[in-house]
Amino acid sequence: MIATVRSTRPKVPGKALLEAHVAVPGGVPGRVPDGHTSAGTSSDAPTALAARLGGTLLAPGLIRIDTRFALPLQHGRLRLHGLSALATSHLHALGLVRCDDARSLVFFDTETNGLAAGAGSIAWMIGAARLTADDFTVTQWMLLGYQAERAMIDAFSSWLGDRATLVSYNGRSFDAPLIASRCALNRRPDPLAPLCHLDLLPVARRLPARSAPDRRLSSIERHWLGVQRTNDLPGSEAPGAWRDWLARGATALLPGVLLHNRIDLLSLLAVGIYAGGYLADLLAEQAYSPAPEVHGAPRVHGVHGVHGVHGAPGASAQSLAAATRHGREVQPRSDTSIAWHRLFATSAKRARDAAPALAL
Amino acid sequence: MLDLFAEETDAAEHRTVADSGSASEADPAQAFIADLRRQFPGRIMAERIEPARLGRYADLPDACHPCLREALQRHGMTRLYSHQREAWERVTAGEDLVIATPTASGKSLCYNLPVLDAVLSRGAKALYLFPTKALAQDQVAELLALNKIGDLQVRASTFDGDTPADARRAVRVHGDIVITNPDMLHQSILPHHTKWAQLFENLAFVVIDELHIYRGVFGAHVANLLRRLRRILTFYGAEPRFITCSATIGNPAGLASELLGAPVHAITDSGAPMGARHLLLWNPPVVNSALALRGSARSQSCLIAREAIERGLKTIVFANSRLEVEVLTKYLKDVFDPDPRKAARIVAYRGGYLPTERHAIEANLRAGRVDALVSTSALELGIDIGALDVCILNGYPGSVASARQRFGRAGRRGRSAVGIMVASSQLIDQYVATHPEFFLDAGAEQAHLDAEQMLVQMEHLRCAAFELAFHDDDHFGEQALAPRMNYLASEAVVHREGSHWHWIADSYPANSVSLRSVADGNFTVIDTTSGGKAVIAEVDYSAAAMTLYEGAIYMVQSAPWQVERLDWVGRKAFVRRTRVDYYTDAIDYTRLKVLDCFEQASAGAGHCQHGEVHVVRRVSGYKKIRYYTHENVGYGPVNLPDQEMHTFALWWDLPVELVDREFPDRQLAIDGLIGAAYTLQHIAALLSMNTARDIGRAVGDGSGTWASRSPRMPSAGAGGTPSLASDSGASVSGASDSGASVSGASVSVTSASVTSASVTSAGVTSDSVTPDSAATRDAQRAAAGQFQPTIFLYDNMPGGSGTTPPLYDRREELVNHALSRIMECDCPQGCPACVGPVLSLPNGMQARATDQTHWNPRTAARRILELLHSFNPATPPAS
Ligand SMILES: [Zn+2]
Repeated sequence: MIATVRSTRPKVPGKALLEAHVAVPGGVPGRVPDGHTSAGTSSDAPTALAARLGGTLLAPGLIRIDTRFALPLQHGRLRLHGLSALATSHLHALGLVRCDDARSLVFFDTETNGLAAGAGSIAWMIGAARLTADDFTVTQWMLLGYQAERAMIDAFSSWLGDRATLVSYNGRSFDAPLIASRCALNRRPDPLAPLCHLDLLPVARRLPARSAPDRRLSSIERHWLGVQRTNDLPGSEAPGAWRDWLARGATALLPGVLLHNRIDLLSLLAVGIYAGGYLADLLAEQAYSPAPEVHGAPRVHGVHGVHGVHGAPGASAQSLAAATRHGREVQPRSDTSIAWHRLFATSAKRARDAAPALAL
Repeated sequence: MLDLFAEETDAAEHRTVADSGSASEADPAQAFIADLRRQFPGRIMAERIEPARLGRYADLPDACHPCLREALQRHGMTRLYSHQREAWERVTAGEDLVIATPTASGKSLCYNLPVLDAVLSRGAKALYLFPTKALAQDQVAELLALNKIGDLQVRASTFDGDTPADARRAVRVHGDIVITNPDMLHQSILPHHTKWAQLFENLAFVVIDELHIYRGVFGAHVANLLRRLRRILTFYGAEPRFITCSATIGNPAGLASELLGAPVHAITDSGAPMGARHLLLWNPPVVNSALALRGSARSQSCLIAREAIERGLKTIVFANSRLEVEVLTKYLKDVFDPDPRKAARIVAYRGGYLPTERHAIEANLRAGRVDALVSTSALELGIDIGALDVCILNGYPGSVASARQRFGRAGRRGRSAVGIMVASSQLIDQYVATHPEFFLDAGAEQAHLDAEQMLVQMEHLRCAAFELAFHDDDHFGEQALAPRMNYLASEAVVHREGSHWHWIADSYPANSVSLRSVADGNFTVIDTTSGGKAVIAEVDYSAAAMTLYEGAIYMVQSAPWQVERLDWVGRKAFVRRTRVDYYTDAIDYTRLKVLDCFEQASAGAGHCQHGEVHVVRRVSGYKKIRYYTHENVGYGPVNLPDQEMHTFALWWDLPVELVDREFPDRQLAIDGLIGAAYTLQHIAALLSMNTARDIGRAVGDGSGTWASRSPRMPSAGAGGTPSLASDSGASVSGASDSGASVSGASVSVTSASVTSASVTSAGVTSDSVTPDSAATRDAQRAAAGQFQPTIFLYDNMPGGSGTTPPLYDRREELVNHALSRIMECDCPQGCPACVGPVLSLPNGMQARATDQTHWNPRTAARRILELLHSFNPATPPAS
């Protein structure tokens, strides 16, 4: 009793139905592209564009731009020094217990097509930076089209190596899963998966607010670091810049996105220094030293605010216990939960409005 | 209790008791039927006994994994039913299957056995799709029980909206069997498929249960969803087998093939033992012989339910609307639950309850604490509700498959069960009551879906583009990819690069597509009685306009709430407890405009055409109807946005000169069109396995607004020529079945059953919210001016469900059946069983008799259909 597929009648297409019914969200009605618009056809040839953006064409459709920031550098109220600003004690305080050398840190951030997740999200720009004694070098890979994505993943992977320690802002929830998804779609191993990853967003959530209305990077860089960006392209316009490039070959906004991404990385470094100093000071006061055998990045979700700092020491122990339990279950290698546990358990007595221990 | 073994252990023993000998005295069910026969002679139109059947068995397959075999044996299961073994053989041979054996025949083992074996022996994974969360949870309970018995360590888990965030990763990475529903696959799994790589890379089976649910628009959605799934699976290099299960429909292999887009083998021969089942077809007695009016199905269902409950038989009553459920529940509660402090013996069950409420009801049912249950189709599916003896259908549920599925809810323990279908006065019911062979003997009807439904497919094409870039050589459906992709590119949601199309928009296409209906967003019903804000129910978007208008009486467990405020945009209805003695019924209107004509053929003296239409529905007011007496005790206005949709329709038209010649006046011709539309609509629903609600009807004149009953209804506005062929604005009216207008005067002579019936015809001349409305004047104006006699049947789902093409192909059959229905009916001048309720005849109609014809709604409709019949070839227009 095998049935064949019912052949549907040759249908008169419901053209009126299609035109009238299918919504055109943000689309330009009546504009039907020839299917071969965009990349390369208008304005700049890729090589020229790369040069104009201060970079080189690494592969067809892939531009790499290196930017060196000489240190020390004033960033808001904070003077960014080289390696010395992130001493081992600071790294340990941030939970990077096995990381003794800030040279292994890789700060990274992506620009996307504007979606939070899902297979249709793409990172069309990856910015990553390393710290040395006297500079902070940002490397950016930018796609001119989808076909270069595999080349970008390969370039980023080999640049990254397998020993780096990642530092990001909300990267555990956003950038890293996005890159993992893009790697899967391009049949490449995820270069981030084996690496330790310090996400500074949960760290920032545990620090005193100091008038920051929320913990977005743009908020804390203004309220904690005193950074005033001028003529900055808001991050929310990056997806549109990419679409404009693809659809019309428009390059006007691309330098702005690159610059925005670089400043984000500078702020990421600054927040790391700020938070590392603050927490190291906490640790020093409690004469606490983290266990040497744990390593990796903190993954202590579910605890909002440092109870020990903000009061309610009772709640602190409880929720922290839950959080560390959770951390161990979900991420066996995740590490610093123990350090965090000790840290917060011992800092419970700390005064409510403790001044940041950092010289600003 | 494991459902898959229930038949093996319990039924096998009970069966011999129940079957051996005629056991009639000992069998309470048979005694019950004997009593019904004695007490109510003449009401049982047909009777059929489906005898008990012995089981046919086969050994457990040798190749079965030893741990699984041991688990089965430890549960006393040493052999399989023959169809379970056949399923094993075919699945292991690599075939795709549909298993369409009766309810409770151990269908789930047909897939669980090969799936568990593959999980245990080669680490394979499986994805199960159930249409609802409740069914998925039942299934996982079943699997976990087996898991526990055999210590199989198979990780089976549901994945749905209730799955906690921290468990989701574990399910994705470690789940061997993931049990979910199409909506989750659509909105959560496929758009994030890279997180599910471990599942997809190892996916060996896709199991789809309750296949028969996936027909019409829902079926078209799921067929395209499965196309998306196949694309993703191809990406991960998986090529799983598909095992599906269906209720007994006429074409399980056909429907499964349409859904999967590939040939599928059907297993229909059940080896499971079955208890005897007595099926009765019950017609209410004639209560008014002059008008040939029958009593209401509701009162008969109540009566039969009372008899059954008093005998201690556990009973389920199925009603076809939420309103019917609430009214029936109230009537039964008035008898059996007089003391509200005691535990309820009668319980209502319908969609719209909150999950906690629903779970409590289900638990009470399983525990046997409830004597009778009044349910909508929500319980038609295989949710475990424990053993029931009697199943009463209050009205024909719209398909034989559905009726059989509902009957299947009684008699699970293998003792004989009773199923009674009580016919309402509706046309379809009366057709079934007078043609019992259709119901009792005919193979179940055919279910179809149209995977090429354009709007549905476009929506899934967007989703598919989000999930994986399209290449020029890819396919999605039968039509060429490039034009559709270019369309999406013009919307700037995809971007062309090289030979690929990439998703580019910053939106999630799946979030704006609901598989269940095109319009989205449930309404919450909020009780403000004591100043609080408790959510007491949820209502589908599609039902909201008809049930939650301000002033509506909304019933929950038969307790009335009144809607005080409706926040249409916020999807909220604020209600307050009330003590009124009436319920409310919405009055709605339909306007229709032809957009495109696909095909056309002559039909008698006129034409039949098939094409695309734009439909506007408006709820203009409501009626208050008193309990028990059903008198109309008032009207109220409703101000809601119009419900608009594009859909497909077929329509017949007749030359106006001919109609003018055949009828003494245009009012009669209009009555004839309205009656014929009513008959055609119901016959069409019957033939296409739909309910009358799935097919809209309307009549029009091709140009004017004569039929609009509401003064607020604007004119069609399209102008243009009156000819339909030019596709200008055809303006139409037609109330849906719920838009009944009943005058109090006529109700006193008619029976209760009439009140919920449609009285489209009456509305044209009277019975509107404002009887002396502009509509009446419109009608007069139209009667004097342009008049293009037309009858429309339209697909009542936005974008269409594929119903109209086969109906157009069967257009002559439709006219034939409709004509014979009108000729067979034994009412004097028209009734709900032929041309629609006739409550008060238009003034002077009875008095008129021209030539040999005694004009009344029935003869007028008959004349229209005769003119459309093929024995009446087109006459040249009079010059
Ligand atoms: Zn009749």
